[in-house]
Amino acid sequence: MKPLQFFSLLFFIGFLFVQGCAVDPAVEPTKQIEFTVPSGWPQPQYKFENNEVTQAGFDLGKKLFFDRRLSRDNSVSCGSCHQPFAAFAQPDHDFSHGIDNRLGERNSPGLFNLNWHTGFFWDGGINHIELQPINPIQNPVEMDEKLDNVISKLKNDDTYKAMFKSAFGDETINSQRMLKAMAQFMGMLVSSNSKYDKYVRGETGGSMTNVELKGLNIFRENCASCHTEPMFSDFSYRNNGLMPSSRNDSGRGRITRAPEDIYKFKVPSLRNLKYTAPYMHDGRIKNLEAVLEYYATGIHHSPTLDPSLQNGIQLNPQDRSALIAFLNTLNDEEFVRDARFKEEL
Amino acid sequence: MRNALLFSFFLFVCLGSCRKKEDPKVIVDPNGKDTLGKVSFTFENMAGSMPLDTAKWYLTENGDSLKVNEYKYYVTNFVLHSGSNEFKEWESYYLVDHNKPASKTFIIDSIPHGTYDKISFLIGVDEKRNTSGAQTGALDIENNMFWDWNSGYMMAKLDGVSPQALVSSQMVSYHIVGFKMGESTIRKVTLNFPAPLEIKGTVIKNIHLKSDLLEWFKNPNVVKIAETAIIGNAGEAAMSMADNYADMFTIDHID
Repeated sequence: MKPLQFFSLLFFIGFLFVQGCAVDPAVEPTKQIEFTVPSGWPQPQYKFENNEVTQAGFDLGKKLFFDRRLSRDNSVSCGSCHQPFAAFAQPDHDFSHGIDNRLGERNSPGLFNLNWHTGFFWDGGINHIELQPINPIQNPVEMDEKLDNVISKLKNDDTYKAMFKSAFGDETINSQRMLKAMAQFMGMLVSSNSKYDKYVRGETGGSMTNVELKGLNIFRENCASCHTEPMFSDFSYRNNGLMPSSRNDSGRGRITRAPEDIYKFKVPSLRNLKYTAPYMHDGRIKNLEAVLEYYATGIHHSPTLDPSLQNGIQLNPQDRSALIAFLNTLNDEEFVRDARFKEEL
Repeated sequence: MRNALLFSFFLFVCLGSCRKKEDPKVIVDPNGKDTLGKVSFTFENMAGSMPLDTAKWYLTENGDSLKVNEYKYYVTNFVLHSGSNEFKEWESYYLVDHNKPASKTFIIDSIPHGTYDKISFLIGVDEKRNTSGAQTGALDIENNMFWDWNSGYMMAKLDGVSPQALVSSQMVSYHIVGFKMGESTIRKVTLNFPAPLEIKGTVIKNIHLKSDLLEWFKNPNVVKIAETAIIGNAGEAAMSMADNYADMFTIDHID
């Protein structure tokens, strides 16, 4: 055998072995989607470890997110209360409606930049993005379905069989794969193209007015210790002085059972406020002017009130409107219009 | 000759890389697979000296009557000890569910041949798997052993009825959770074999373990159903219960 022939043979055999190593030779390798950390941002908490994002996985996660069959009577999807045009919150609802018109217990938050969160839900009870969807699926006032029922529904659907195969190499449908696909979709919901972001990166579209810049300074002096840039939350749990309602939601205290955590909730991001009103964990405040009035005059003192809010936040009318002008630079129109994240109809 | 050598080397590299991906359980053993054996486990749930029957009533040491509907526990992270050496099973998670007979028997393989004197395992799921996202197999959420509002696995679960339970339904429900420091209900069990266990050739020894459910109610803590019919959160009560059942396992015999 001549050396050239020999090496050709070698390559051919090598090729066969490489093929043999692949998960399933019948499946086209699915296109990977790169997850990029926006410049200047910290490293995320979740980096899709053991869950590499592919187009097929993302598409499957998106289909699941908008699929009403995840609820008991096939009437409510994740997307019902997390709508793309509202930065995945539900506008004008303090509490969202679950199945049978049952009312939820907390305000449906916007979903974006979730990979940076250290805990999920307003109380941070869930420690991993892949485990987040289970509660809304099973919660009686939300989708009131059992996870094993959801899996049975998916197993009886040929479209899902094909999509699970594309995403994971074979037709096996189980909760781990379902949750990982959903994490791919939710984790890719990155909002980083507001005017503020472009200003920070020195890009076109990022020129701030004097009033907005004044508002930025007011923000940094009065708000940034909790609503830390660039996530606009430090993801800690704090009592911001809301008078407990008749529901007496103890928030973080229910999770840790520690008296010092009663009435604490996760600091929400201030990105995309234009789309996510009403505000606070129970949606009790309708607009930003009212939020600032609340921080000036409405704080309820209790043992767990955050030390930084003992005297509230006192701003004169000009400063308040400058601050609101700045907060409006955090709205990311590209994110809420992003075609990748819209429900396929 | 040189070509043939090169070819063999190439083949070896290809084969090697394939095998590694397919079977992470295989332990690198210079002598090859002929020196790896298996051992099988059978768990029998007891109520005192009687095999547990969900149709029957039992008396705890405190005189409480109890009938059991559901009884499940995780046994994980199996280690076989041979003197100061040990063999750790790679992916070692089992859920024993009293109502699913098949769950009470399983086989651990790829154990290096040798003579072993004791075994250890955890009752419960280690902290890492409580914080690593969606799992599969015994740890699949579908097994209804995972809390969806406050992350973590139930390490063990005992649901039943008792006339001593001071709730209208007479329900007894112990869902033992807690993996974090300060509230951990993970308990380690170490059991000596009655005689040294030799693993060799293709012989599969079967280790029969018994677990006595009545241990939940005694030693070191007295649990009276009238005082504690429900445990549904992490904390002192859950840890006390875990301390009680930590010694409920015995090796009955090996055949």
